[in-house]
Amino acid sequence: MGSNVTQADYPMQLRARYLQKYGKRVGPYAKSFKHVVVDPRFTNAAAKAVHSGVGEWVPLKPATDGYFLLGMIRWMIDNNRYKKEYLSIPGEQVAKNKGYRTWTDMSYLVGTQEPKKYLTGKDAGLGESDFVVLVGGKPKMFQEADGLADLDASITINGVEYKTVFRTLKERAREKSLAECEAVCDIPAGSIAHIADEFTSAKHPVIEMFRGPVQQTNGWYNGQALCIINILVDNIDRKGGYISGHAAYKGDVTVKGRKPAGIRVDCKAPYQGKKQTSTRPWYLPAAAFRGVTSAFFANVRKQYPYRIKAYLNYYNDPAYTMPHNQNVIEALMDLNAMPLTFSIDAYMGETSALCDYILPDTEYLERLGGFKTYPPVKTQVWGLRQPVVGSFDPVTHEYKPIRPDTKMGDDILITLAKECGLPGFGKNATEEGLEINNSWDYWNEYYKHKDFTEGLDPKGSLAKLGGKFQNPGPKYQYTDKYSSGDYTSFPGGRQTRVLFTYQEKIATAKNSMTGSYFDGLPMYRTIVDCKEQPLDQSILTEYPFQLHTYKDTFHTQSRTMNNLWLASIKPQNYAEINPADAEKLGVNSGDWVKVKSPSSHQLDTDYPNFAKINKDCYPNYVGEGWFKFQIKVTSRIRPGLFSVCNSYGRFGAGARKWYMNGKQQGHDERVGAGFHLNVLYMADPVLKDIVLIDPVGGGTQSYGSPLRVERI
Amino acid sequence: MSELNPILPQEIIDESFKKPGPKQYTLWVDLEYCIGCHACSMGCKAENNTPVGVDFNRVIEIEEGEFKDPKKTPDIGVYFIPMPCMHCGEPACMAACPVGAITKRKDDGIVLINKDKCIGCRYCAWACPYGAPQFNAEAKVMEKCTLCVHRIEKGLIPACVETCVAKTRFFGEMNAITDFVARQKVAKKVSVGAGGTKPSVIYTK
Repeated sequence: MGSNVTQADYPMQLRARYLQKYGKRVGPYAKSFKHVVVDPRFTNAAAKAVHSGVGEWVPLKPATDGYFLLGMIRWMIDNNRYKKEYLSIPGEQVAKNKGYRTWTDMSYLVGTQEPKKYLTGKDAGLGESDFVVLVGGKPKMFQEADGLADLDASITINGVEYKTVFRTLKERAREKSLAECEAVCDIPAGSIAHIADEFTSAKHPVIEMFRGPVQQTNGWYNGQALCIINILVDNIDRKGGYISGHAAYKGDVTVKGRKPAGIRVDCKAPYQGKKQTSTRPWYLPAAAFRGVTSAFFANVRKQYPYRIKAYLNYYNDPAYTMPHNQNVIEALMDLNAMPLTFSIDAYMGETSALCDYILPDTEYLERLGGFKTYPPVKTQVWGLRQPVVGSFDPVTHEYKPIRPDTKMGDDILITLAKECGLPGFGKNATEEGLEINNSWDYWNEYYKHKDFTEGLDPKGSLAKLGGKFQNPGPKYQYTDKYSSGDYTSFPGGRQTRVLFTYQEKIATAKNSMTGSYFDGLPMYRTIVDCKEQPLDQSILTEYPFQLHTYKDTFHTQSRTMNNLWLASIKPQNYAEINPADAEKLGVNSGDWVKVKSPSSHQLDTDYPNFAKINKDCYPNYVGEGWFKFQIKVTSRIRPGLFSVCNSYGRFGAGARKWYMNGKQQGHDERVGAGFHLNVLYMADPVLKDIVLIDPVGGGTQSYGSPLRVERI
Repeated sequence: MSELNPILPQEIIDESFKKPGPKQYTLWVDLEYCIGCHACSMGCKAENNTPVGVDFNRVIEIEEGEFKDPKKTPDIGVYFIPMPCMHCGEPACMAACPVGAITKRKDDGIVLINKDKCIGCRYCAWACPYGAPQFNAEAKVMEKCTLCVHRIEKGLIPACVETCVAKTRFFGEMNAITDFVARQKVAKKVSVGAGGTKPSVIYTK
C-alpha cells in the first residue's frame, strides 16, 4: 500500500530481490504468492504484480486510504476473519502458555467518556493494575486473568460505560458501509470485500506500507489502521509477517554533552500557552517524533513562537524539496525572519543559494561515516563509507579533499564545535588524553564501542570488508539455544511483548488549535485542516483535479539531476494525466495546460520576496497563481490526477545561470529541465500560510491536494 | 532452483564460453522480471564510458491497454524492455553501410563497427529497426553495443548482465539459451521487432 518495492532505494535493498524470488516462483509458498498494489499510480511494482496475471492493482484515489483500510477492518470483523484466540489473550503468561510471542490490548477496557483512558485496576476497585479485562463478564486485572478474556464486551462501572478496545474498533469500523468506502476511494464495487477475503484466506497475509498512506493529514490514523489489520491476522513478528524492525548495529561514544533546552520552533511540544487554544498548531512529541519541518519554516516566517537568530542548513534542500516551498524561499529571503543563515552543501543548491554563508562540503565519494540497515531488512548490516578519492594525513588524519576549497561536512561541524567549546570535541574529548579533532578521529572512536571493536584500523575487518555484516544463513540464526519457531529470528532474541492497537497517549492529548481530544483509534477521514475539519465542498468542485507526485526509479529528490548520465535516461518530466481527463480537457501528449491551486494566487500578494525571483525559479509561472505544464497522457495515472514526478525543474545546483562575487559560474540547462510542482500544494485553509499537515503525526498532505487544470 | 522458470544456470554460461566457433553469443532478457530500474544502462555507460546521448543500452517502457474508468477493474500492463544491440543474423546496419565499416564476426556472431572506417553518415542508424547504432557527436562516428567484447574475450560476462539488479538478463550462446528456454514451462518467447534481420537477442515474457 503506497509502497513501491521496485523503486527508490529498494532495488539496492533486499525487498525487491525477495519479491523477484517470489516472482520467479522460487522458495516455499512462492507458487501461491499474490502481490496486490494499492496505489493511485500504476507503479513499476504494480506492473510486476500484474505481469504474471496473478497480482492486482487497486487504483485508490489519493487521500482515501483511511476508508480502504477501515473498510477492510470492517469486513474482517463482520465476517469473523480475525484471530479470535490471539486477540483475547489478556497478558504475558497466557500468551506464553499458548505459544504466542505477542499479545494485544484488544480485550482491555477503555472508557467512553473523555479523556478516554484504559480502565485501571484502581478505578475498577480491584487493585494495582494498568489494565482491566472482562472474563465471563466479570472485571479482572489483566495480569490475574489466567485464561482468555472477553473480546467483544462492555461493562458499566460507577455509572461510566467501558468497552473493550475490540468493541470500540468494531463500532468505529461500522460507521461506514463498504459501499460508502468504495465510493470515497473511487474503486469498483466489491473491491474491499474481495481483497479482504483473499487477504484473510492467505496462509501468510501481510499488508505493508511506506510513505504513501502516512504522508497525509490522516497519516497517523492510516498507519495505525494498517498495523491493526496485521494484528487482526496475528502476523506481527511472524515469519512471512510484519516486523517492526530491529536494533541496528551501533557504536556508542559516551560524552557528558549538553542537552538541548527550550522550545523547538516547529512546536513539537505540548502546548503550554495561556490561551485556551493556540494560534498555530503544536505537535505531539509522542506522534511527531521526528519533528515537523514544514511547520518549522512556516513558523520561522511568522516568528512563532519566537524569532530565530541563526539557521544552519546541512544535508537538506528544503527550498526545492519541501511541499509548499514558497514558505521556505520567503523565509530565507526575509532578513527579519531569518537574520543569519549558513549552509553546508556540496552544490549551490536552491537553499544554499539563498543563505548568507556557504561552507562547501565534499562530494559523496569523499565521505566518512556509516549506514545502518533499514528496519525491513532483518539481518544486521552496517556499511562503512570511506572516501574513494582524496587522502588522510597519516599523522593527524586530517582529510585532504580533491578540491582545496571544500571540507568534509563532519569536519566542518567538528571545527565549529571546537570553536564553540562544546564538550566531546578537541583535547580530552571523551576521556583523558583522547583528542577528537576531525571526522576520522570521531568515527574511529565511534567504531571502538558496542558492536564494533577495531576502530578505523585499515587492517581491521571493518575497514577491509567495508562494514559489519551478520551472516543471514539460517544455521547462524537458529541455534539449539535459540530457535524462533514460527516467529522471525531477531538478533539477540525478542521479549514476549504487548501490541497496543488503541493509542491512549493520543486519545488523552488535545489538538492545540481546537482544544478537543484526539481519537485513539483510526478514523474515516480524507483531507483535514489543522482544526480537523474537512475541506470545503466548494473548493473540491472548483478544483476537481488532485495533485500527485512520485519519484523516478533512477533519481533521488535533489542530488542526482546534475549527474548528466542519469539525467539522460529521461531528459525532462511532464505533467501526467489519464486519457479520460485528456479527452475531457481536449488535450493530447505534448500539449500545454495551465494549473492553479486554491492558494497559489497568494504568490503575488503574500510572498513579496519570493515574487522577486519567482520567474527565475519557475519560468512556467504565468501570474495570478497559474503555472503552465506540458502534458503526457498515460493510463499509469488514475483519472482525476495531475501527476508530476520530482527531481525535475531544478532552479539551483547549476541548473540556471548563477553568479559568485559578480562572476557568472558554470551551469547546464539540462539539470533544470522539466517541471517542479511543490509551489502548487494547497495551503491550510485556516492558517493560509502553511501546507496541510496531519494534526497528530505531523506528516504533510503529499498527494491529493486540489488543483484546477485548464487547456491553454 | 524452481522447475518453473529458473535463471540461466552457470553450466550453460560456462559451456557457451567453451563451445568452439562459429557460434552466436547473445543475451536472453526475461521481461517478466525487469523492474525498469535502468541499472543496466548505467552499468553500460560506466563500462564503455559513453558520452551523454550515446546509449548502447536503453530500457523502453511500453504501455498496453487503457484505463479510463475507475469503476471498472483496470486491465493494463507496462513492460520494461531493455534494448541492447540485437547482434542480428542478417544485420541491416551492415547491409546499409556504404564503406563496409560494420562486420559480423564469424566466430562469435558479434556485430562491430570499425571506427577507423566509419564516416559517420548514419545510414546504419536509419536501417536498424532497433535504434542500436548511436552517433557520437564528439568523435563523429557511429558507435553501438559491442556485447562487451573486451570483457567476453577475457571470459567475463557483459557489464549490463552483471549489473542487473533483478537478474533478468543473461549472457550465453544462442542455441544453448534457446534450448534452455524451450524446456521451460512458463517462459514464452516474444518478439520485440519485425524480426526480418534475424535478431539474436532472445526475449521471453
